Amino acid sequence: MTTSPSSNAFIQSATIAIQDIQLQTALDRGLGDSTAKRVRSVDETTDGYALRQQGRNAKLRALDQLPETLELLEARLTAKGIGVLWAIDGEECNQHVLDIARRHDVHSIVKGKSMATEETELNHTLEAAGLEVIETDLGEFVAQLAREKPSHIVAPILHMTKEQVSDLFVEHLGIEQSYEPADLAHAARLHLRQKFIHADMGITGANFAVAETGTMAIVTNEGNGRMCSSLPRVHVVVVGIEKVIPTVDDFSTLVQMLPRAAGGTPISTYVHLMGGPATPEDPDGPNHMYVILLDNGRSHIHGTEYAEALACIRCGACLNSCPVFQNVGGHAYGATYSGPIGAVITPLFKGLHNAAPLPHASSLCGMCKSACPMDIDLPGMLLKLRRDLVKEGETDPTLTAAIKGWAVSMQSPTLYGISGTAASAATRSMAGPSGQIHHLPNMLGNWTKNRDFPAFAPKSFHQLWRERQRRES
Amino acid sequence: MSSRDKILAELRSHRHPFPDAAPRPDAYIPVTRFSAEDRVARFTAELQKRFGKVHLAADPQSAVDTVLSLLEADKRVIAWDGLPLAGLGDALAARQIDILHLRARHDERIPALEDAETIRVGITGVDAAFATTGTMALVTAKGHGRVPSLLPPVHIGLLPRERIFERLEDWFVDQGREAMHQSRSIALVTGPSSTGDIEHHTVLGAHGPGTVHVVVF
Repeated sequence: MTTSPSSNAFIQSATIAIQDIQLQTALDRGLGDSTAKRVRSVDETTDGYALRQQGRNAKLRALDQLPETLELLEARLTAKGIGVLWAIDGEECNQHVLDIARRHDVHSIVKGKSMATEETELNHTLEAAGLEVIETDLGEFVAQLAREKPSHIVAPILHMTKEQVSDLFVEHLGIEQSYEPADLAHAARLHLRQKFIHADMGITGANFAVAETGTMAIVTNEGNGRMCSSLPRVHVVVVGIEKVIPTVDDFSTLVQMLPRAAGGTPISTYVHLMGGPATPEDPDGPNHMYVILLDNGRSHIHGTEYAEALACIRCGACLNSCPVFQNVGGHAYGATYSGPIGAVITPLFKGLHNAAPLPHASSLCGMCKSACPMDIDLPGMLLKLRRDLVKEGETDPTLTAAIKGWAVSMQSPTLYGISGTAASAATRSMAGPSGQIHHLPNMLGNWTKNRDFPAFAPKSFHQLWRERQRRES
Repeated sequence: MSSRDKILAELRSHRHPFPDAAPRPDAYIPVTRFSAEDRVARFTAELQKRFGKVHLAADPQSAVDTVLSLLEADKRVIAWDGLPLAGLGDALAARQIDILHLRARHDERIPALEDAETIRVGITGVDAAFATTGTMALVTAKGHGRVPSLLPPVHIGLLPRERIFERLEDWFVDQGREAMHQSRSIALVTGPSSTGDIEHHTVLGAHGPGTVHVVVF
């Protein structure tokens, strides 16, 4: 596995990303008209605003009553013969999977797309134990061949061009060079089909865990999730504890909002509702099914003012609509989750000091909140995280001193006037004939690295106002 | 203390984070619009948008003819027991087309799947369909397995028109809820398997059936 740069290297990674022509090509082609498609498909609904609140409130009710909702889910799953395990962190989660694999003499594993197991780096643990693990979502499969991490919650290889995918398939699957996505998808189908049939175990995530009925729901367009959960003799679901929702009615709303937000379609091609291992009355399915409820920092977030972030249904709409993400892609964030939701939850998961640049990786334009089907206040939370950074001393002391100085001078008309006159004189002396400064001195030089700074006007507003009053009197 | 108890204790140590969350509504707002339209027409239009092929048959006999016309040189199909279309079994027998019913479990499962993998067409009933999304619901039970709609490149769903609901919510409020309690697997299927993972370019037949026919009768 390639080690990705840390979240603290965001500025450096982003600087490289915006100059990477291959990445920029992939982002342009891959993002396409995703925002327009999402807006159109929400527009087709009965009442976009009211539905958003209906879906949001379903998630908030679940979070407000989270321990009770989880206990109900556990009881209903257990009653159906599903083994329920709890994992406080990634290590415990991976150990559970390993134990299950050993108990059932598992050698080969097929995996559906799962961000939770990206968090826990499950593949690494399983491979180290000598098990074969194959990602089966097309994008995840490509990322696995490239030994890369997914760069987008929903579209894992948004960062890759079809030419790069083709090169990988020529190398690993021995196909003839083709840049046709249909040829590439077909080659993957042929290769993975045999893996599905012969695998001992399937691992998937879940998009929703319905407490009322004890049902794990997974949405896919490819159908690989349904295969991983149907063909092998053992099926394991790894799911974050925040994915639980109370009722079937909540599910009916949310399952239609997720695909509209994610891809602009009314419903995903497959919604698979998984309700337990095979029985004599219902024999076509796995012999054993397990659900691992993963905490990994979620119960901590639940007790903070950022609890709303747990309402996220991982649709990716905030990534697609974010001007920062659109330009730098997902890997620059150096974390499992990228884009605005990643910038919020990564510091909460990994600690603010391990992801200090991320709360600033936003122009606070508000597109993420307007795109979010759960109406999560992402810009508000980014601002609060910036406040936390200052509180925890994670901010440049010179900047803090400068802002304090600015605050003092803003409160005194005399100081304000003096500093204004000084700034005007200084900047005009530095500016060329265009009135623009190309290089500011010292630490201010960061501002002019990528743009010009206009010189102050010769006369301040106060001066002009006084002159006008004199003329008129 | 187990991890379970630690996690639940940590969650319980917090005040309720969203005391203002709206209570569960008495009536949920449906997601999709539906005005006094014909359910079959709407179902057809929505499924066609998702690359599904819809065949409307006036009566069961012409539905049988439609299914036969979709079979090429196929000598075997894989299908559910007790298909909801009277006369289909006899018609297949008359054409000397064998029906594979997958039963094997445990040790015989992999050879059974390899055998099923050689078959081009899977035929299933449809337990319910939703007009506003063009979706069919396939509920597993004995003889109604997952494989016929999973492995073959072509899936034919047999849909009696009275099973078409206006919306997904209309089924889940009652029958679907019961199916979620009882069944081991419910697949909501809307058109052929597809992927957009390579440059957002839609390709059909990613893993599941690349061709989906629904015969409505």
